[in-house]
Amino acid sequence: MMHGAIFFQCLLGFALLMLSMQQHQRGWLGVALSLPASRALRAGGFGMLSLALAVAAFGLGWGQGIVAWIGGQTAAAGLLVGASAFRAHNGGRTKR
Amino acid sequence: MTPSGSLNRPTSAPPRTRHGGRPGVRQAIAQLHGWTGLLPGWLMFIIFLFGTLAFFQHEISNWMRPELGRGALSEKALEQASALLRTRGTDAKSWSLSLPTRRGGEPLTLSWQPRGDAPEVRTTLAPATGQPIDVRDTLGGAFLFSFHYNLHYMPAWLARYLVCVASLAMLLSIATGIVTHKRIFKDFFTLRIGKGQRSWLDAHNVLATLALPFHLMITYTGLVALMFIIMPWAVLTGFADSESFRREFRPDSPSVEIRSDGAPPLPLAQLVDRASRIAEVPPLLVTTHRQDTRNGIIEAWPGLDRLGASYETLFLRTGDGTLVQAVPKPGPASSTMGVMIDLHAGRFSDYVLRWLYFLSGLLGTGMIATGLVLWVTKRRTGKPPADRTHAGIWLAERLNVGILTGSLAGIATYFLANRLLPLGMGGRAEREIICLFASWGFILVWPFLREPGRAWRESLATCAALYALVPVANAMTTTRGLVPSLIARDWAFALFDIAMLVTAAGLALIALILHRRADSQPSSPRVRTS
Repeated sequence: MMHGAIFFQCLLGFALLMLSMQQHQRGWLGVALSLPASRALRAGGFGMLSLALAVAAFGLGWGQGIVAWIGGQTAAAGLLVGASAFRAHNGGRTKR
Repeated sequence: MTPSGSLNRPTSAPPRTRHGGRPGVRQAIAQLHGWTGLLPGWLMFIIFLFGTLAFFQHEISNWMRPELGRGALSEKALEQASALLRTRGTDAKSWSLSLPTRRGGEPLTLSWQPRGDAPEVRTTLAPATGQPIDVRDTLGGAFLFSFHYNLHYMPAWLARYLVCVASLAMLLSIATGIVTHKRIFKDFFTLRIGKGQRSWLDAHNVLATLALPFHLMITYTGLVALMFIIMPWAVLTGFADSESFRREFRPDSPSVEIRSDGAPPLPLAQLVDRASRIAEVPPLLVTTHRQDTRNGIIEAWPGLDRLGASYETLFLRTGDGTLVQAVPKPGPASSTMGVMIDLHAGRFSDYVLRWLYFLSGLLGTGMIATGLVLWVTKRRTGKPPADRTHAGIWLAERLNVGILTGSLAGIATYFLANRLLPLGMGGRAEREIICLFASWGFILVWPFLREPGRAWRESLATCAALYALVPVANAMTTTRGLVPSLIARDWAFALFDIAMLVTAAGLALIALILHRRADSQPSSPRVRTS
């Protein structure tokens, strides 16, 4: 339960960070967002990752929480990299 | 993280930057990354692969000892053990109980040392029922765990030195890789598939950055676990030898005089329960001393499945289960070392966290494998291409096949041998290990007899077949095959078999992709060169 919450917050955080990058905006959204919008997404992404850390530390204690948070980030970022590579390889709208 | 591109240049001319000057700091670091990654890379691959499997060593042991049955250690089993010791070990000098961890994988093992010169007597009980059982002779997952730092066919001290040197090089390789990888944030989510060498580099970078904190932690804490090997001087300055240090660090007996409380001994199950409450984790090993008198003590080695667990041995009075002496508080350095080793081993993890450890370990293993493959492909396809007969590249290419796929084949053969070797065979545990290294040796020799591209495909296909055979051998030789396990919701067994099938499918897929590429590009040895 706690691990699921940490994972989904990390997934959301990294998804926002990925969409704050121009090359991924073109791939996933088809358009490049404005600079303020990108910055807002980046802030939101880091915010979600920080929230995931707070949840992990609160739920599992600082020791085990940090380990679970880092593990959750690895799994979440891995999933996004996989999804992104799959999308680009299978007829993504834009190619870098 | 990439091996140096400058190494592709002809050796006659010194490497130059695009501005024509001497190579910059980053380029020099890239060269260092290439060499510190390559030379100990094969050993690091083995350490990472076996270390990653060791996160599930108890689950693997559980599968490799199907006689244990299902269920955790019960109070009933402890009562049976106590009764058995009281009837058969009455004249013994001491009794010992080796208890399985909460994750299983071991029987409840009783042993006692009769008075006189008679040899030690051992017997094994099922942890759940306490019934005597014959467990097949195997080292199980414990061998995979110990191999990742003790290696095999060499003295442990030499193996640990080698492992320490490789780990130091790995630490250097990670640090130089971070500097070499110029676009660590920009390319964080970038993995371009089907673009030849570019894809290998992307994969290497992604595998490295996704679990970078893990890679740093596991390498550094691994060195901490072996720090007395590489930095023995502090101990040697204060103590005559390492044994006297060990006695001081982890004493065999309490330092205070034992006062008899005169009470008859408590039942063993109650004493184990007291030790569990004091250490907050169940003990792994309990040894009784003078158990037939009224001033006996028990010595309990605590389990370590808690982050920051105490490594101190507990000494309890058998009469009332109270501590003979207060548990010594470890100093800051000792506590720090303990936490680092806990972090390394991940024994405190619940199942989700254990899978995350496993996933991160696989990413590390993949990072090393892609780095080793890159080292060769960059030199094969650089401009101008390196001499194809260059001895170093020739050897590295073949060692890549032999070690990367050979170790995988060895592990599958180890599992197969566990099921197929006759149960009553003498020295069975060692023969399982011989099977592991025999199949590894075969795959190690194979690329020296075949063209490497073909050797890659054939050895990967062999590995896939071996892994696919493991569930078949399990179903044929035990009653706990995949289908009965799924029906009985015996997840430990079912997941093991499923993991074998997934591994087989993954390896077969890679072999198939390489086969198709070889067909479409007959001139290319192995990897598309974009």
